[in-house]
Amino acid sequence: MFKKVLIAEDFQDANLGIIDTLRERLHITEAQEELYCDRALSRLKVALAAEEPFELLVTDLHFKKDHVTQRISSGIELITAARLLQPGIKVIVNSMEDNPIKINALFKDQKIDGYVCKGRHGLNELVSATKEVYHNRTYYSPQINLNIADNVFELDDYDLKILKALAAGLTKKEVSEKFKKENISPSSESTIDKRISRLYDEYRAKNTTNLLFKLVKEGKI
Amino acid sequence: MKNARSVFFLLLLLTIGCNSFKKSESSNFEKSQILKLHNQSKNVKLEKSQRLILADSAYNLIKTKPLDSLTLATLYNKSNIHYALKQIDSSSFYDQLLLEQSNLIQNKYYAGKASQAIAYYFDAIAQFDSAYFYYNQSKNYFQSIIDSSQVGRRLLSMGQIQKNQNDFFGSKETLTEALQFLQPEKDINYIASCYSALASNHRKLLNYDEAINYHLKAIELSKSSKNILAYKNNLATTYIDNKKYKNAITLLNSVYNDTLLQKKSSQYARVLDNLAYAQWLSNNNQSENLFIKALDIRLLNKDRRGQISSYTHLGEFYAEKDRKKAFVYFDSVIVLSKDLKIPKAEKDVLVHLMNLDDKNTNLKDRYIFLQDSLYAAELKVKTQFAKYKYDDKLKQEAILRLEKENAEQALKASKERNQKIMYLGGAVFLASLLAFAFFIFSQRTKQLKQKNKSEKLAAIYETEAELSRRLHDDHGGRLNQTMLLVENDADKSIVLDNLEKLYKQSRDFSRDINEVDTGPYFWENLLAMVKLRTPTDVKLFISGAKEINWNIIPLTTKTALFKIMQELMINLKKHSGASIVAITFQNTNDVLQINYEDDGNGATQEELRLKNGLLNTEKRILAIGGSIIFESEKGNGFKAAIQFPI
Repeated sequence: MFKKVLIAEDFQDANLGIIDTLRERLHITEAQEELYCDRALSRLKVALAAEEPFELLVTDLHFKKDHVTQRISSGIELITAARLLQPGIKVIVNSMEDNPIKINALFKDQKIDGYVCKGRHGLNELVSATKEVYHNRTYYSPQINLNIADNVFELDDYDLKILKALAAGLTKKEVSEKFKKENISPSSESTIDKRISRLYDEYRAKNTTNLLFKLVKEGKI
Repeated sequence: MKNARSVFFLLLLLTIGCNSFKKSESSNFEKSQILKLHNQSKNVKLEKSQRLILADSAYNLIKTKPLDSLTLATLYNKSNIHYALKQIDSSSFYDQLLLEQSNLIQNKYYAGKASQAIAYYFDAIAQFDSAYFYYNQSKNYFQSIIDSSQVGRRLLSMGQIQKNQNDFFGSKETLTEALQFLQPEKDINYIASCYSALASNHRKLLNYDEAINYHLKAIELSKSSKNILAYKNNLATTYIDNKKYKNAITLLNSVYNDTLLQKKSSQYARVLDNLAYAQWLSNNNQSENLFIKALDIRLLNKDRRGQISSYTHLGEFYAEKDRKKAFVYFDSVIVLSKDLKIPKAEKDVLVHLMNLDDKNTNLKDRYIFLQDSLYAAELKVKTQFAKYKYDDKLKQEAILRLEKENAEQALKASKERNQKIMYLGGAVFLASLLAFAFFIFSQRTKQLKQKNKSEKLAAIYETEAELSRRLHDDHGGRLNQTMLLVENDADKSIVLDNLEKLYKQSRDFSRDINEVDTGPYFWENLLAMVKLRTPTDVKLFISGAKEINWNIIPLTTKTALFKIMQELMINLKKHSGASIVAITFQNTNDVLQINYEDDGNGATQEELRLKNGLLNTEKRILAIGGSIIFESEKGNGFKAAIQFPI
């Protein structure tokens, strides 16, 4: 298990809760807290200089602004700076944010190792996340459903053209021929077939497809 | 119509033309009449009194007219005729008037002529300092109009006055100056006079050789036979002074025998007297006859100056022969010289008297007194003349300098003024233009800002009011309930559940208030929001959004769009009861068009107005120059067409 963990969190009570949990349940002896991003970064530097670097950084995304002026004022900036200083450091974000888009961006851009959503089960999630990250796996808060709202369908122009053609009663072959004539690419029958299958897969139920046809026919899409 | 107008104008022009023609014709007629009278009055063949009548009528006609050079000409002519008629005071009066009027219209020629006439008048009444002053003034007028000849003639007159007032050095100076101005072609007699006067000065200064030279030059140059006789006489006196009696006698004899010399004239008497004197001095003639003959003519002509000369010569003649006669003649000189105020003559005679009666201390005292006073007077006269001339020169130089300075300053000032005016005008123009533009611009932006601001503020206030309502009604209510549960020692899990709901609710609040992420993940965030807020029993189709380049959409538009979508989604969840929603995005030209359509209950216009969130939405869109059109009927779905300028 990790031996040295740094927690950056502006709620001192939350910090203490996190530290207690990490000590009790994961036996991490050296867990330190910082209320400000700047201080957290300094601590990382000092530890690195002493050749006893932190192995894990747990940070929030948002820090309250107060009278102490900070050079670094957000979790994202802290992560970026920490990675510059110490590229191998593991990072878990522990935040209130539940927007999957934003969380995905953290994994993609900041290359974070885990995301824990604060809440009733937040501490449990953090324990699990730490374990997963220690074993070089990523952790994604189960509270955040990445596949939410399978009832929202996003169509592009190509999809719409196929749908319009199909709604007009054309077969896949006829759609292909029509596209070739109108210089719409890709126009091969196989590509069109694949796209239609995907659309059907995405919308799953047949009645949705029928609804779609209806909307296309009425010109509402 | 056009023709009628042009005919009217033609008529108008003709009438005006005729009127002005008549006017000018009448004034022309009057002027030619005056000119005719004026010219007739100058005809020397006519009687002087007749000429005066003509001149008077010309002057009477013209004096009511505006002052011009013809007025001055008639005045000058009138004055001349008065002078010719020996009406000296009238002449002088009109000379003064001429001077005033010339100065009024700045006619330097007639001002010069008037000054000359006034000087001539003072010369005639023996007020030589005034005469000198006016000659000088006349000279200055002519100098300013560069009439060299007139300047020379005035200087000659001035030099002659100085000579007669015993200012010989001053006179020499003035006369030499005169010679520089006089023109040989037309002033030859004046030049001769100049040389003659110069000769007299040299004679008085005892430079006989110089004097003789100048006399000869005067005689040689002069075209006036009459003047030549006078010059010859003067030359003879110089010869006498220089004790060249033979030269004097020869010369005087030639003059005496000249047919031009009028018998019984003052000039004749002078020649006679001088001839007698020269002959007596050269011991050729011991008779008093010639002296007496000359004196008789002088007495006849009332030539009192000449008489002094005769009495002096007679006194000298009898000094050794007959003391008593000599005393009588010398006394006559003293009486005359006192009468004529010629103290120099008295002084000269006193020398002879002292020789006759060297024990008479009265004579010596008188001589010393006269010599002193004469010296003082001469000095006074000299300084006075010098002062007139010199002051005048200084004044002129000062005037010239001032004029130059003034002109330079005026030029500079006018340049500066023009520049200043130009700069100032330009600056004022620019400033007013800028001010005007700024005013218009600021008014516009103020209005727009005000409008924008008030709309934004209104939207913010409405949002805040909505949030505060929700905080109080939903959140506060639930908190209160949870407090009661803890108070009553309710089951921990129930309390926790309640607390979790509260936590999630607060997260929702934060999401509502949260600033919109307008960065590269804008669309993903918007889509996530839509997905989060779409009820599970609703199918929502979005098309066209993938084709839009969100990077070029302004941040304010993105924010507004996000908030609008959020409101539409809230509305969908709360009120619609819809099962299908279609949202299409289109980016055509400079417009971002979003169409929202659902198949829900719709809303009456009344209900629409009550939907605070949607109204806030509308304000947001208007604030950034967009538009939103709601189309809804009860039971017939809900439509919104939104447009943003890009």
